[in-house]
Amino acid sequence: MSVDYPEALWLLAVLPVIAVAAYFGYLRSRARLQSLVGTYIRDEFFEALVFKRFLSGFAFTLTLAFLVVALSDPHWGERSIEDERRGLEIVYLIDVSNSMRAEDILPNRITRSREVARAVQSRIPDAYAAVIAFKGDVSVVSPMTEDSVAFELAMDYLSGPLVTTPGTDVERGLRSALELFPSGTNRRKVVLLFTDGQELTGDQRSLVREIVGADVAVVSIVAGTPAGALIPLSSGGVLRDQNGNPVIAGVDEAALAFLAEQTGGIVQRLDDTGVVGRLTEYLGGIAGSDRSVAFRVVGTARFRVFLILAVLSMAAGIWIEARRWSALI
Amino acid sequence: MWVLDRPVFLLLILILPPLVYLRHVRPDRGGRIRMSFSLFQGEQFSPPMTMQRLLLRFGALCYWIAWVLVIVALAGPARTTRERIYLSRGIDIMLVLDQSASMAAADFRPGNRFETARAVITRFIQDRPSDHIGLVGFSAEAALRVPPTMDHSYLLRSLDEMQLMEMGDGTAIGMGLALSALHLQAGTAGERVVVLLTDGVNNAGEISPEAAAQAAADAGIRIYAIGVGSSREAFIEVRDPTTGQLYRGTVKDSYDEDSLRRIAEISGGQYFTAGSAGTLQSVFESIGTAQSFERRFRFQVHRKLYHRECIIAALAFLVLEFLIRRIIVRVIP
Repeated sequence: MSVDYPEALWLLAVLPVIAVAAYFGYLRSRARLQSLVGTYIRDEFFEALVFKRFLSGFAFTLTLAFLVVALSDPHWGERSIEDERRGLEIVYLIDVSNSMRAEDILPNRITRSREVARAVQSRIPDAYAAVIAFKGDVSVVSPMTEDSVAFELAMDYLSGPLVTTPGTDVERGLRSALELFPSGTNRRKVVLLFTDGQELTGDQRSLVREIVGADVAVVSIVAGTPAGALIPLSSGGVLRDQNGNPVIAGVDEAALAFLAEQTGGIVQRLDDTGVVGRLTEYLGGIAGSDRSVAFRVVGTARFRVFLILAVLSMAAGIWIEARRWSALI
Repeated sequence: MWVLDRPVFLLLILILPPLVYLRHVRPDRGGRIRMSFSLFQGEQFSPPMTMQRLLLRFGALCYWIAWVLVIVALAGPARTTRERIYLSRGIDIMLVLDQSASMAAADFRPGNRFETARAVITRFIQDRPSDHIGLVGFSAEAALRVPPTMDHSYLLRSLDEMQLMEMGDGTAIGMGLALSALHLQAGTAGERVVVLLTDGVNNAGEISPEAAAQAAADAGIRIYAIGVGSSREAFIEVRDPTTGQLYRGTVKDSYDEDSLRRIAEISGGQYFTAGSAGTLQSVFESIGTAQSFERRFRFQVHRKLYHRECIIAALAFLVLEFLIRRIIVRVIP
């Protein structure tokens, strides 16, 4: 079983608090009962009170628990549905931040990203392509087009100064990429994300849900080595922090792998010599052919199972509370 | 549009009346003490409406609202949107727009030639959602603004950002045509056309309009050439976006009708003149009609479920009722 909203399950932590509150409520009810029927009350009265209180409280807690699980949108099992999409639309989302100037991948990360993007696009010429450069902000270099000349121009145009805001806002880049897929088309949508993934922060799950909702797969191309590298400056020397220490540009491979896995994409390393072949193979595989009937597997939503259980436990709570005391004593 | 994913679950509403009866109406329900009215000489009495009783009633209302919300969540409330998916490939159109200073001539009421052309082109784009449309601007030079794309919102934004004299003052018609042919030649559309809109005579660039038209014709691209403006004197006011300098004056130059006619003939297209905003609109409508084709599409329905919102609300109401009934009023069940 997997859930779409795991953060909702944190609400289960509130249930013990409610149980404790219910216990104190019981103690006060008992005191009230005692004041109502006197101190000579038979023990059976209290046993009946415990029975009714405990069972109705248990039913109530179960109801809340089932509702919380339903809220997390659980699903298990899979079903195949016909996939009518044909062809590909690719957004090349390329990080042009300072860290992409690191030379742990030769000649440097950004130049190698351009080379790989060009090689991939040339091997799948039928694919429509769009190009976005991003740093702390985003610049759309080319909209979705099948114009290969425009794609080449966009690749030539890619450079750090294209975006002036410093940083590496992958989230903003991905949201812009989603907007670049035009409506009215029936092609599969893929984002090829070339980045070292630094500063990939924020609510990634919400972003992933948005991407999955738009039926877009993210292919992460990790631009950098685990050891990282110094960032050369155009004026000579290397980039240093406020204390004068050289800045080492690393990679956040785990975050990029998470993005890819959650959206049905793959993760590749830019320094891998077979990266172009593997990307082409993946993209060719999902593009489908014009004639074949393709299917895709989707998870089956199961929130209703837990909602029905919640309804049953609520009904049980009513039945317990409605029982006559005389039937219990 | 709002729909229910599994409306059959709404039948669960039918179990609510018996449950309400059990919880609030049944005479010998739990938590009640029977009393003989004979103690009160047969007279009935009703308890006063205290704050506690009001709270209890409010709690009961919350409880049953929670029930309804859970049942609605089971039914799966969803909002659907329809997206038109085009099954047939539209045509490729490259709009080639003159950005020279003379396009500021105010003989196209209410605006000038450039503003009017932009408004007409915007409507043209909006009427052709399945076509791949690109944009080239030219004056002393030519530049690709947008390659042929179905992303018409991006295209319209780019069109809106165009300014007169961005590329100097001049009229490089040949360069504009050659550039648009370059970006259309590899297109897979059955029909590829260029719509050239100019008010001047080619006086810049290394490629003559006729040579560019021939190259386009060789690539199977048709050119619709539109000469805009009138032959009478017109006032112009234009600010150079590079220097910020404001130019004012009058212009009487007209386009080269013979050249535009030749361009259209070479490529198998058509030549039009537009002396006013109305005629320019008619010209674009004519081009639209000439380039009409059967558009096949289907609707794809996107469904967004809202059951989670119902569950959240139900949880809130249930907890509220619990607090009122068990903690504040302390009802004995």
